[in-house]
Amino acid sequence: MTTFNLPDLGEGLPDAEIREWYVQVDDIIKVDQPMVAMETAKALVDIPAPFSGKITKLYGKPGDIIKTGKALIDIEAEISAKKNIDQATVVGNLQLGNRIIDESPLGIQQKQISTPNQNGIKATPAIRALAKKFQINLNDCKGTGPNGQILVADIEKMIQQKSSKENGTTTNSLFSLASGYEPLRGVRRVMASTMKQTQLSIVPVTLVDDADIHAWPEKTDITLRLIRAVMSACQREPRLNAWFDESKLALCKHNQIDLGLAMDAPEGLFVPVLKNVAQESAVNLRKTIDKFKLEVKNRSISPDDLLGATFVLSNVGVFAGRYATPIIIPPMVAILAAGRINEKVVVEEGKISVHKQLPLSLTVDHRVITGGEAARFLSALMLDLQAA
Amino acid sequence: MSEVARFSIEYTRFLDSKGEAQQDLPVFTHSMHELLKLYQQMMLTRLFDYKAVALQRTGMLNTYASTLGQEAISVGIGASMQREDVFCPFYRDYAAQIMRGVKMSEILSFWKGNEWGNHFSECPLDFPICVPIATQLLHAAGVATAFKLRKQARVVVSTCGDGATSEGDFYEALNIAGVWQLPIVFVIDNNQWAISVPRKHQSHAQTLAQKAIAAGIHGEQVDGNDVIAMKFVMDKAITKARDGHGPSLIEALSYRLCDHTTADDASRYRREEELQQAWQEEPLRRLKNYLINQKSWSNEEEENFKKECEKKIEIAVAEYLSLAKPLVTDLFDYHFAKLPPDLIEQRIEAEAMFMLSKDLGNG
Amino acid sequence: MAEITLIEAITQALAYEMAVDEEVILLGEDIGVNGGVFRATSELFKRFGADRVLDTPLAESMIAGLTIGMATQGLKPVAEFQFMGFSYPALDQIINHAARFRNRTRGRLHCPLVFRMPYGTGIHAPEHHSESTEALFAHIPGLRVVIPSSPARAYGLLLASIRNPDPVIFLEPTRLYRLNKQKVPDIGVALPLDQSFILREGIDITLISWGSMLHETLLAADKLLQEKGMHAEVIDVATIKPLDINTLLSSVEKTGRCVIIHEAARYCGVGAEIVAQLSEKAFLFLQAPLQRVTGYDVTVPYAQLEKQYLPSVTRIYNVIEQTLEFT
Repeated sequence: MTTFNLPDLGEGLPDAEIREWYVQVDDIIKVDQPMVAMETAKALVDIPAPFSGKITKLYGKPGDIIKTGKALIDIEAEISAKKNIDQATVVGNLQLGNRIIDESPLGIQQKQISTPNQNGIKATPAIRALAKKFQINLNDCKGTGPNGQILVADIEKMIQQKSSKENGTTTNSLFSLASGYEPLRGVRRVMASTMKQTQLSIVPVTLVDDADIHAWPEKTDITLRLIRAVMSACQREPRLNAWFDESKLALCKHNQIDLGLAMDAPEGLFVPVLKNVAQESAVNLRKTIDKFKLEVKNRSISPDDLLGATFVLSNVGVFAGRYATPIIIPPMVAILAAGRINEKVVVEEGKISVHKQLPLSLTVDHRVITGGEAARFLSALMLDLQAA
Repeated sequence: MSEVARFSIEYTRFLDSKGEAQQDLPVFTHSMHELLKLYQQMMLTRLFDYKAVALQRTGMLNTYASTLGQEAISVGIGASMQREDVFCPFYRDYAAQIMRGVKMSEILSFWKGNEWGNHFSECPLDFPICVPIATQLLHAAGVATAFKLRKQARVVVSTCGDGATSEGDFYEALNIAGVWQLPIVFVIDNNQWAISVPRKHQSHAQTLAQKAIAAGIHGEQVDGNDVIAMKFVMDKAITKARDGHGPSLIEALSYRLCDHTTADDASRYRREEELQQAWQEEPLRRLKNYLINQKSWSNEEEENFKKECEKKIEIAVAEYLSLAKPLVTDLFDYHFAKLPPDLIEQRIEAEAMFMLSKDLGNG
Repeated sequence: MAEITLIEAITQALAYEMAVDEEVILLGEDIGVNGGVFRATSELFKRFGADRVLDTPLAESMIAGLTIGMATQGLKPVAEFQFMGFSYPALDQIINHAARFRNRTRGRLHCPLVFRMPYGTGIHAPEHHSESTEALFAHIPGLRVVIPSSPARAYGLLLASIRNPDPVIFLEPTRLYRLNKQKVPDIGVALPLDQSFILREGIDITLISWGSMLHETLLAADKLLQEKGMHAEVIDVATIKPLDINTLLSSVEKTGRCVIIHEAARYCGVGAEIVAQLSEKAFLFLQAPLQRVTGYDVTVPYAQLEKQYLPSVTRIYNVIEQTLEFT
C-alpha cells in the first residue's frame, strides 16, 4: 500500500481544495486514470492515478484543503510499489528464490585426490574404436603398453585368437586382406580412386531420348553417324564442347571437337581421343577408330592419344543397355551415351510401322550447362540422326 | 613569482524558478511560437517519461532511466542542432532524441531489451544511448574529427552526467577536442547525483565547467532548468564550433527528480526535503508561468495539449507493444557483413533449439 | 540460524573479515551510503565508517589503480566494480600492474587485493550488464579467478580470497544473488582456493560447470536420472584459475565421458582450456569426445533474446545424450 501525496500542481501554490472524487474506497483504478478534481486558486486540475491498484483510503472530502506534499490517497498497487520492497539492484530483475541449499559447501569428498585413478582401462580412442569394430572386449585384452595400456598389437593378437577359434585360419596382420579379396591394379585402380573424387563437385543432369533412325541406309556406320550428329549439335550449342575450371569458375569453349571415344577392354575403360573430328574425312575417322581399338586391345595405345578430349561419346549399347547416366570426366562438361538400337511400333500416316530407335543419354554439368542448352543439343543430335 | 594564468566561469540564466525574467531575454524568445514549441517539447517528453515509468511499474518495460526534471537541457540541445549534425547521448536525452526523429517506440524497445530500438529508422546519423559511462565522449570526438578532416560544416554534440566527469575518457575527450580544435560541444547534465554519490563527493572542483580550462577549451555554466538559457548557450556554442572556432564544455545545472533508474530507490541515500526543494526549481513550471504571464498560454490550452500528447504517446506505446519479438536468428545476423562458417553452425543449432522449444510449447 | 542468500553471504564475509582485520578496506561506487547497488555492502558503512568503506567517484581505472597502491602498503583492499561490463577501463591496471607487481619486484612488493564484481546474464538488465568474460582474466598470469555458486561457498571463498596474499578476481553470478538460500555459520572459516567441489557423485558422465550455469547443470543431471536412470557426476570448478585438474581428471577417468557447461561465449572460453587439459591427461580413458555447451559466439544479447542465448537445460541434456550414446 502506498500513500500518494498531493504533488506540486505546477503553480507554486501551497495547497489545493478537493472539488470532486471520481473514485471511492475499494475501487480498482488503472494508471493515468483521473482520481480527483483539485481546485487551486487558478484552475481546476484532474489528478491521474500514478499506478494501477485498489483505493484503500481517501484523505478528505470535497471542500477539504490538502497541503502540497501531504497525503491525498492510499492505493494498494497491483505490483508492489518500489518504496515497500528494496529491489536490491540498480538494473534488471533479481529473482528472489526460496530454495534452501542443503549440501556441505565442500561438496562430496573424494577419497584419493592427489593421484589420478589408475584402475580404469587405458586405451586411446583409436584403439577403442578398433576394438569395437572387431568386436573385441577391452576388458579381456591384456595391455602390453606402459601401465597396462592396450596397444594395436594387443588388439591384433585378440583378433587372431578370436578368428582361429572361429574358423581355424590365421591371418598375418591386421591390415592384410580378408580372403577372397584381390587388390585392384592399373586402370581399374585409378578408376576406383579417382572416380569418387572427380564426381564430388560435378552436378550431373541426364536427359534421355530416342532418335528414330528408320531412314538410315543399310550398313550405316553407327559410330560415324553419332560423331556427325555430335558435330552438328556442338555447332548448335558450343558450350557443351568445353572445359570448366572450377577453382576459377571459368569456362573454355573449344573451337574444335576432340572427341573421346569410350572403349572397353579387360583392363578397364579407355577413352582414346579423335582429334579435330570436323577436319577428318569419314574414311580417316573409321581408320583411326579401328586403329585405336586394336591398340587398346594390345595395350599399346600411346598416352598422348588418351589426352585432351573435349567431348566424350560412349557407345554402351553394343551389348545391352538402353539408357544410362553416363559420368562426365572433368574438366569436360558433357558426355553422350548411345544405347542399344531397338525396334518400336510407330504410327506413320495412319498405318502401323516398325522403326528402329537409337536411345540417347546426355549428361551435362549443371554448374555450367543449363537444361535448355542440354535439350537443344539433344534436339540437334536427334535431328541429325533422324536424317537419312 | 608572477601569475601566468587565470580563469573565470560564466553562468547564464534568464528565467528564475518562478518564471520571471532576470535580464533581457534573447532575440529568439520574441517569437512566442518558438518559445511555445520549446515548452511543448518539454511537456511531451515529461508525459512520455511518466508513461515509460508507468509501463515499468506495470511489468511492460524493463529497467528504465527517467529524465524527470532534466527536460530543459535536452530540449535546448535538440532545438539548437541541425539535421546534419550528430548527437552522441548518454541515457537521459529523450527530448533531443525525439526532436531529432527517434521514435518513442524505439526508446521503449531499447529499454525492453530489443536491439532494434537502436535502429533509429528516422534518425540515421545519431548514436544510440551509451551505457558505459563517458565512453561516448570519445566516440563523439572521433565523429568531430571526421567532420574536420572532411571540412564539413557539421557539429557533434555529446552529453554526459556529472559522475562521468570523473572518468578518464572525459578528460581524454576534452583534451583531444582542445588540441585539435574539434567541432564539438560537450554538455554535462549535472543533475547532482551519480546513483548515490552526490556532486560534492564526485569532484573537488568548484564547477565541472572549469575542467575545460585544463583542456584549454571554453567552458561555462548554465541553469539547465531554464530552457531559454539552454538554447541560448547551445546556439552560441554550436555556432562557434560550426564556424571552426573550436569546442565548448557546457555544464548545465539541474536536479535528478527521479531515481537513478526504476530499479533504484533514491530515498535510501537522499533526503525527501531536498527533493521537494528541487521540485520548486523544475523547468516546466517556470516556463509555463512565464508563458501564462505573457498571455501566450493558458491552462485550457495546456489541458488540450496534454490530451494531444497523451494520444501521441498512446499510439507510440501501442506501436511498441505490438512489435514482434526478436527472432532467435537476430542473435547472429548482425555481427558481421557476412556470417562466418562457425557462426552459421551455431545459428542453425540455435534455430533448431528454438523450433524444438516451440513444438514442445515451451515458447 | 536463518538461511541467507548469496549476496547476504558476501556481506557476512566482508563484515566478518573487516571486524577481525582492520587492514581490510572496501572501495567502489555507491558501496557506502547506498550499501552497493546489489546491497553487497549493506550496513557496512554504518558499522565501520567512512574510513573503512570508501565511496569513490565514478572512475574504474582509478579504483583499480588505487587498490593496487593500497595493497602494496599492506592494506587488504576489496574493491567493487559495479558490473563486469564496467571493469574494462580497469584492465590496464589489472593486467599491467596488479598481476605483475610480485614478479617484477621479485617478491619485494605484492598485492593482497580482491576485485569483486557481479557478472553473467539472466536478470533482464540493459546492455553491458550481463558480461561473462572470465576467460579474459583467467588468461593473465598472476591472477586468480574465483567464482562461487552457493551462499556458503561465496562466504568461504571470499574469506579465502581476502586472506590470500595475491590478487583475486572474485566473480559473483548476478543471477544467483538471491536465487537460493543456505545456512552459513558466521565463524570465519575459509574454504580452500584452487579446488573444485563435487556436488553430485556419479559414474556415467562428468558434468563440469561453474557460476550460475550450475543451476541448469544440476537440473539436467536430475533429468538424466529420471529419464534414463543414469548418474552424472557434477563438479563446481569454483577456482577457474589455477584449475584443480586432478579432481576433474579423477572424475573423467571414472566416467570416460564429459560435458563442460558455461554461459560465456564458446571461442576461447574457459571450457576450451579444460577440454585441452582433459584431452591431454585423460586421453586414454575417453569413450566419447569432450563436449562443451556454451553461450554462442555472439555479443550477449539484450533482454529479449537472453533466454535463447543461455545454455538451457534442453540444450545441455541433448549434448549429454549425444555423449552417452557416442560409439
